[in-house]
Amino acid sequence: MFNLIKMDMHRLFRSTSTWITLLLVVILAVFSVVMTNVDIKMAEDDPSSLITETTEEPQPGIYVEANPEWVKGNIEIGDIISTEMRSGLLAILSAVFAAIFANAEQKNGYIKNIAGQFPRRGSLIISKFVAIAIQIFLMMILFTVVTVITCFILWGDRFYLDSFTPILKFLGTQYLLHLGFAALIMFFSILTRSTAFSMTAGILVCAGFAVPIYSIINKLVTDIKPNLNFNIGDYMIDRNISQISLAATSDIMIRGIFVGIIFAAVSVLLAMFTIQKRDVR
Amino acid sequence: MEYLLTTNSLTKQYGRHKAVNAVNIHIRQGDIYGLIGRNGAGKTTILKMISGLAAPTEGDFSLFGKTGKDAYEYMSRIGTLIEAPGIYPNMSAAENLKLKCLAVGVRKKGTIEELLKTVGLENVEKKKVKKFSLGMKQRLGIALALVGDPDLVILDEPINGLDPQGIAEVRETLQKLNKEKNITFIISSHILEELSKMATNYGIIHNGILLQEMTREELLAKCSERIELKTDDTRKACTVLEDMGIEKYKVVDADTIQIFERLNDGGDITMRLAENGVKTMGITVKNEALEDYYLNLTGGIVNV
Repeated sequence: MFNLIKMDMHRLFRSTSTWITLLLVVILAVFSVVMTNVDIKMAEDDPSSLITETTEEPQPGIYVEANPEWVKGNIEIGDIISTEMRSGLLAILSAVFAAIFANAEQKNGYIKNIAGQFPRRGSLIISKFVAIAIQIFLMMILFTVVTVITCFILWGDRFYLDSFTPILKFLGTQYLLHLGFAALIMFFSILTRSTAFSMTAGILVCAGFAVPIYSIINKLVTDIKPNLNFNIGDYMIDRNISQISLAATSDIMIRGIFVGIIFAAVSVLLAMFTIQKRDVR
Repeated sequence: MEYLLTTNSLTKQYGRHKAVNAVNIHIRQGDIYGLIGRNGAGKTTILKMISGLAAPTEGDFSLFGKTGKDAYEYMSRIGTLIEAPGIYPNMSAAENLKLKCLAVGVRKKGTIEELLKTVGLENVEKKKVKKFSLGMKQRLGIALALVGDPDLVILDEPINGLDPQGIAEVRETLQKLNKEKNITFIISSHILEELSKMATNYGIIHNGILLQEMTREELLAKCSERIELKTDDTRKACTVLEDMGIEKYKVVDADTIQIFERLNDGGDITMRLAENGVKTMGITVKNEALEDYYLNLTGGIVNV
């Protein structure tokens, strides 16, 4: 097991996809902050432009909702990091990386060189999960650092740090959620042996295309138990990524942590079961 | 332990189709076992099951005298090259080997360089594998199978895509490893002539069934070399051959005669034919024994 982890760590830092993903993290972090700045500038000219229509269900798409208070006042570091991360951009990159990294061995056939020597093939999944977890950690740190630097360049003195602890709590929760999401995509990629399918599924989920399905489930549950205050979105990984902000209560944060851990654990177990039971092609 | 590997009614079924049907293979330590069969005969499926890449539907195999789950403890002593070599195209040959070394816990310095030298890839330096020729990829696949000094190496069509010189080099390498390190090889190939140059034992498989197992000596005893004579007048040539006391011959077609005795007397035969006014269009000693034997056993010309 430890040898396999070493192998996947070696592969992680020698794969082109690792470095391209990190580069994309930098580009998207800068792009996202610049676009937020454009929104703020527009709002300075036309204050109504930041007022969005509120609907019961979130609308599909990838977007950053700028805080109207940023137009005149100062911008807090935690606030902007929370807003940028909840857009789902980082989750998309996590999904893309997980799909490419997890499926590479199956796609190029390298798995045939090693799978036979490990009768407990599930360990192949754990080593990949460890490598993906490290990459997502790096992506999250990089995204945060680049966001902060870009904001500082754009807003200078208007950009300030209120308190560090809430940011750490938020980043920790979001890390587990992103990890759970990446594990889910890893499972899809092991199950389907298709990088394209897994990536597309990840992007669509991040873009909110699963929301109509959640609405149908909610409606069904409400029809069966009208008094039950149930929203399946509260227990889904994508909704937690977009909903849990810096200002979230402890209960919501804890729920997010559990959702992340459960998604990661179940996905890893399912992927281990799949690779163990299926013949290597 | 009489055998390093035996299979016991090894069967693989996909739906209603039995790709491998109750196969019993016996391989001793130090054998070079040639698995012969046409495309789709079940060779790769057998090799995948033995390699631990596919689970048998029925039956099992014994490895180093251990069966079932006990045998799986020895899977780390098997190196494999199944179908096309599995390699990371954006990495160099050394990096691909490094990954396998890390996975199986090989830490000895110089291992990668030694493996690259063994398969003749010592000069590729940092060239990415995606720029390799098919033959170079095949050699890298063999090197990957050799990581960790395995006792048993399973090679599925290892000389696919190699040029004649490459084939000869791989053959020499495998024979050297077999002799010097006592590595046992299972090699499947459809190039029967080539297989016959290195295999010490054979298993002939057809439609998922193992038809026969035999040693090289047994095969040679069953098959024989022959002179193939091409001439412009087979009728007259036959008279000349009989005058020379040659009785074991066969007229194959209008201008070809196969002679099964006095294989070293090609020169005399040509001279006598010339003296009698029979023109020799060509004369060669042929050894298609394995292929002929296979075709007879499996019933006709097939895509071997």
